[in-house]
Amino acid sequence: MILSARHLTLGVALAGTLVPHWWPALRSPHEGPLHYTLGLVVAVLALAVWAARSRRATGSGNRTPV
Amino acid sequence: MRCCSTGSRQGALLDVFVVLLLWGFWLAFVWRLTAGRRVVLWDTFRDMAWAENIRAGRIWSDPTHPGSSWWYPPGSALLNAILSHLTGWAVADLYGYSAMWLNGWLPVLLYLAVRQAADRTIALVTLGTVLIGSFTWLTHAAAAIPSFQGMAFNLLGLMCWQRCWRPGETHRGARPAWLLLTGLVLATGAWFHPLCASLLAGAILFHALLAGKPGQVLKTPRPRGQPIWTGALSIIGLGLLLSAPLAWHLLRLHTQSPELARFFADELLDPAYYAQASTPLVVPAGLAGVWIIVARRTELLWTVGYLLIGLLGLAVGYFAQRPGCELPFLLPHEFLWHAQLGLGICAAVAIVEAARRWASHASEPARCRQRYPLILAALVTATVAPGLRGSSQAGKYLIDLEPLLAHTTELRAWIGANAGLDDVFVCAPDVGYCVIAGLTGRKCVAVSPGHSNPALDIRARHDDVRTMLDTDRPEVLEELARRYGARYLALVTQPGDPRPVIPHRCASRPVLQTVFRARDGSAVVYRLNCYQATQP
Repeated sequence: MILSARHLTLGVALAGTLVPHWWPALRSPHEGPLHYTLGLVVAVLALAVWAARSRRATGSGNRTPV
Repeated sequence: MRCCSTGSRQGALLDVFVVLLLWGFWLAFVWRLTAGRRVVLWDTFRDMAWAENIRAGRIWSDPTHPGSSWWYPPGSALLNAILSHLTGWAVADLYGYSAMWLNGWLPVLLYLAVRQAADRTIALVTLGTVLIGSFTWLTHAAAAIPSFQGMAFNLLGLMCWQRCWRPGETHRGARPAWLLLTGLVLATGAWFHPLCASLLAGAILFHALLAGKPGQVLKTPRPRGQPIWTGALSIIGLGLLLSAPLAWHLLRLHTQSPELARFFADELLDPAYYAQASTPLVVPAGLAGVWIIVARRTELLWTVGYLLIGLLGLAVGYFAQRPGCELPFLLPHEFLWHAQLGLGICAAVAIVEAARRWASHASEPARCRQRYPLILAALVTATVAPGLRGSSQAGKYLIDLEPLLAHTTELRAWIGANAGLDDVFVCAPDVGYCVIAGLTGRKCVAVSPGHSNPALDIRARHDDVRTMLDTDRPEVLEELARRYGARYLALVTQPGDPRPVIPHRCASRPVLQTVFRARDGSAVVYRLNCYQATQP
């Protein structure tokens, strides 16, 4: 498959965080910052969940346990 | 530090050298901003007023309005009052120079907190991604306010938190002394600024929940020590216990009068602040760092927790601004500071990781070693260097104290010699906030909005002060002055204004008696003859 779930997550995360820099409509008072922040929250959560699944799958998370 | 204790003595010495270098850089940076002059933020006058009161033995009362209870965490004022008592320095001097002696701990502790869990390169790159990569950090790094200086306790707490666990022993073998110390730092941080401490507690909890395996620990006997999540709960429990009186008092006060905590700063609508628009590459680098940390660097999980809590607090603040949305929120601009601290650390992890991977593509180890610093420098430059364009604005919130101190020297000397700590002044709110309360600790009928006890009717007080200052009817002035137990009425010009004070319209009436007049005419103090010592 050309577009995996991994690529999709990364794409959504990047788009969600970078778009407000170049999309002036999102910079309107209150709405722009809200969308941007929510985009970041979703991106962080998506990446964290993806990474945690990856860690479990590969058992690579305990290189330095604390 | 753990990395040093397991590493060589040379490594530890190198870290000490880096810390000394950081102090040197910091002092040079602050000197460039201030030219050695005393600087504060607008909020600092609130804390200076309390520190003046604490020096006079008055801790648990409102430092600006008589007969009211305290309404702000006392940590900063207490620290400065104690230092003032020990050193003999004036409170204004300590606060005015605190960008040097207190804020300097922020880069140092940031380096040390990251150094606990990561190598020196990541810790050093973090300084760039946070202090330069975040415009909000760049413009607040020298801010003498508890909400920013309190982050030093967070970084110290995170440092101690990482010392609680021996390398390789995630679920057992907690060091009780370090658990205790982390709890004490958390509690101290709460007395300094509770919102900061709540971020620290949340980050520790997040780390423990994600790194620990509660189910497994519950089912198996513990050979020694405590598992990571029990350790985290112990720390938070201790912090809560020791800061319970503060939490109870502030929650009660701010629940009844939530206006102050619902302050929404203008900068939250500026992409330079909330979206790091001047350094846009920090954001994707930070997100890549989130993935790397959760997948492979679990020792830094607290960073992701810190980032997430900061973002959530910020998002709630934005939500609450929507029409018809009655969501309770709390100082979202402070959550922004914390979120960008977490994001900056994540970005540093990703940048260093990317440089290593890129360099490792070289066929020979020697070439890899040669390429790594070049690639790292290029990535750091691309990510962080655009932020340097904003360095000219690093001091944009700082207020130079020198003109105000010079302008009010005579007035302050007279107040110190003649007015009691509980004497109430009628004066313009800004004069009351900065001079009468901020520089002498005396009480005022009203000070600037946003820095008053939220339990009081600030609007009514402001209206009454305006009436008392403008009226030409002595009976009106008498009635209002009696209501607030006011003893003096002060008129002060702005620093730099060469014109003398315009006398009060009742100055020739018996209700006012001139008791002080500055030689340059910049200030006049009248005694209100209607004052009775028995007034509340």
